[in-house]
Amino acid sequence: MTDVTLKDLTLRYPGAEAAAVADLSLRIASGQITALLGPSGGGKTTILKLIAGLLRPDAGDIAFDGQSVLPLAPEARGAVMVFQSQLLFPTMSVADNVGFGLRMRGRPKPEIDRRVTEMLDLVQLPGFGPRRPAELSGGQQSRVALARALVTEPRVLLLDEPLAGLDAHLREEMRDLIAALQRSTGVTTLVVTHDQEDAAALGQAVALMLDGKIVQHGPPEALYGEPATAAVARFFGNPNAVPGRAAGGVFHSPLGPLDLPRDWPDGPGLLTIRPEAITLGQGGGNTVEMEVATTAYLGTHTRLTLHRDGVTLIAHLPPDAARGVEKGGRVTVGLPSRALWLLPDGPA
Amino acid sequence: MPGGARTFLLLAPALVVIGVLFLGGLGVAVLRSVGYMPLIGLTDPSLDAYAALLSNRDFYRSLALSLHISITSTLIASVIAVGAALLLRRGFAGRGIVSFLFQLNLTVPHLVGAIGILYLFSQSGSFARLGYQVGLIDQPGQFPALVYDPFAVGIILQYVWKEVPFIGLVVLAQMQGIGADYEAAARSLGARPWQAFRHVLLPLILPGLLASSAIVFAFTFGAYEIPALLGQSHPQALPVLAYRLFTDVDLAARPQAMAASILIAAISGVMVWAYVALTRRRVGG
Amino acid sequence: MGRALRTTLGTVLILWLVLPLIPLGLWSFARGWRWPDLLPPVWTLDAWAYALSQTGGVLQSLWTTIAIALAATALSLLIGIPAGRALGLHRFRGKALVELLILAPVIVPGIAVVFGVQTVFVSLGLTQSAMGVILAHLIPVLPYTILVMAAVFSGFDTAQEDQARSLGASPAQAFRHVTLPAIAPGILVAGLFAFLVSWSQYILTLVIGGGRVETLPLLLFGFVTSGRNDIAGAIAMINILPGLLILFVTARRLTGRSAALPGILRP
Repeated sequence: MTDVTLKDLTLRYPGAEAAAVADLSLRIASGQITALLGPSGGGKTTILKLIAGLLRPDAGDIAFDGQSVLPLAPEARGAVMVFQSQLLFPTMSVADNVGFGLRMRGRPKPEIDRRVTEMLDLVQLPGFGPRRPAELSGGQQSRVALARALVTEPRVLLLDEPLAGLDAHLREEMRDLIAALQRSTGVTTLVVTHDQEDAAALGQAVALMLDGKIVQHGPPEALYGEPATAAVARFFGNPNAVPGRAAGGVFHSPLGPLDLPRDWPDGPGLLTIRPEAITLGQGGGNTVEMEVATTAYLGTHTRLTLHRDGVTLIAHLPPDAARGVEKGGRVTVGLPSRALWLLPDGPA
Repeated sequence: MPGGARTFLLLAPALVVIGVLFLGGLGVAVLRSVGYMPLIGLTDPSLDAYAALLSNRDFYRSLALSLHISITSTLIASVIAVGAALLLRRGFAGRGIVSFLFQLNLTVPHLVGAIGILYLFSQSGSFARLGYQVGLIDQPGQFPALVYDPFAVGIILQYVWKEVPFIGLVVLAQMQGIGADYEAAARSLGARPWQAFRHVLLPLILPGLLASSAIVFAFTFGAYEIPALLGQSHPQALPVLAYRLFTDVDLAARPQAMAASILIAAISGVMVWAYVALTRRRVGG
Repeated sequence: MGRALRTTLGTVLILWLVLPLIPLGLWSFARGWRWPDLLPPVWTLDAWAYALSQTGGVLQSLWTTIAIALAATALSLLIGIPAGRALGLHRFRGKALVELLILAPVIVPGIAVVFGVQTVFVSLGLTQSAMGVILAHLIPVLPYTILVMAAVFSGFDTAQEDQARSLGASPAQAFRHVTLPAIAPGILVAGLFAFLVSWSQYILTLVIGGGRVETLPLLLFGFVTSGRNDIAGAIAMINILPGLLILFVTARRLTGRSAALPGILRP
């Protein structure tokens, strides 16, 4: 079990204007899967390469169990990176790919053969050893890449977008496989993904990275329901932000006074509520009458754009409940107080 | 127009030209080498020219010399080229200059390169003069014979000079296509830098390396002007021998010249085959 | 590899690459440069004056070389562009064989075919003439042009032609206004390098021209073997010039970065 600490990491690629990673600090809990979530191209892969030792930071430190690993070459770090494109070596068989790390360490051949067989069984590809990587499907290649990484019993496993490019049902299978392998090995795992659903499903903790900074780090439920900033809320598909002022457990806003779920410190703030928490008619305490600007039937739900006094709310309603709601009409919606969350960063 | 006919019309002029000039040239050489030319009254094919050639000790010495030249040049150029490509792949001061010189060098005619080598390495060349100035030698004869020499050092130096950029740019293009991630993955899995090169990068660039080496081998085996300029007068490289036989005042030597040229074609034909086999079997396909 | 080591190796490589060209340049400006002088004792333009004089024969040889290379290039483009299109875009039976036939002259040395060609050309009266030399140069130049054009066409999307046709263009118009502009940079590259291939031919010119058609490489060889190092130096410099020009032209026009040589290389 190894915990990983990144401290003030900075890396600027030669010739690049902005730093790829700037003053980044993050603690990755030992023996867990942490999901590093953020939009594509945000420097997440760079962070994995830094931890794996494939890039050297310009500044900052990387420590495993409190001990800096910066002096260690990639092959000595015990942090194995699995690339998004898997990068199975096309010139080698599947078995030679899986056994690669052990071969490089000069382990005896019988041991390598035995471990390769075990690993291929573990990723549900028994008997695939003699095949060539090019003969495998995308999902199978991903599993070989995982086996190849785990056979070396790394201290830290780094997965770069392991689910990208897989179709829906393979994705779930792969998620389950990663979770199961991690449980059985207990290896500290950092998964990079741009997909909030994958992050929530895989990560016991999620670290959200926006504009090169970790903006929130915690259990997935917290990032969904209790976003740290409006930007976090927006990233998780919640555009609702109502400016106003909290005073004595009540939020005063253009929508009228709204009961907060608990006592908040008094002061200005942004009130947010997830679109799917908004109900039609009475419910949960606060009711507001609003004008329907648009309606859109989206299969699993109907999306309403609601206006009142310069405030716009997006609501996702069950299609049945939304039947009869007309564009241009007025509806009464419920904003249940248990679903209200006040963004501490104020009207920004 | 149906697709097949259209394709044929597009290709026809080229196939006619190559068919007549290249295959025709080869074919006529074969016929003349066996002494079968009905047009000039030769109707009795025989292998006399080959027998004469193959019983001539000079032929074997020429063949050995040519094989020595092309094998040695190809090996040395390949090794240096891979090193140069590894160097060019990364940034270093002067990388732009090297890549410019690589490309310039490709456009320089072989003959010009050969003259440059001659002026540098002959016994009265720049290096010999340098040797005198620093007191290593007193007269030209003391400088080691690097051109017109039995080991064809000058010829090999010229080929290495010209072919390092050729193989180097082919291999570099392939390395850039592969990218650095395969080696990074290997390093991450526990390979040391040398292991990552040996077990991962080298197998990946091997097809391009071998294909360009095959071309270089065939070229260095069959080129005339470089050994003609930088080589000894005896033994001569095979193409030089073939040309001497061709221009011999004794017209009876002509069929032998044809036979020699056919043997050159056959040996380089093996290289064509190797090239095709290697480029077809692209990795990952 | 450490940075210092890389820089050292790079410097060695640079020196090695330019070294053979230096004495050529020095000789072309030298007079009385004898053993053991490291540098010419007297600098002069004599060799250049001779090379560029109307009577020396170098200029005539230069024009001959240029004319032959231009003619071989034009013929190769005319024949090679359609063939390149077929190879780059079409799939057909026997394609592998056709590719092999086109590749073979690039790899098989000229000396292997030139004796046979000479035998035929003698009976056709094509030896000792520029026409014969031009035709002989097609042996390496045409396959090379076809391979470049095949690569160019394989990157061309014929859907653009279909789009033009559906917008009312005739086949000729579609070619003129859509295809040609798209492949023009490729034609330029193919043409420039076809020129270079012809420009540096030696054995084909020697055997087919029979001494009557004296291109620059032949002239150069003669001056070297007769010990006129100064004039040989000047001719060698002239011989390098087109390659240098082409390098700058292609670097500017085609890629914006360093030139587009890789992929269309020759040994």
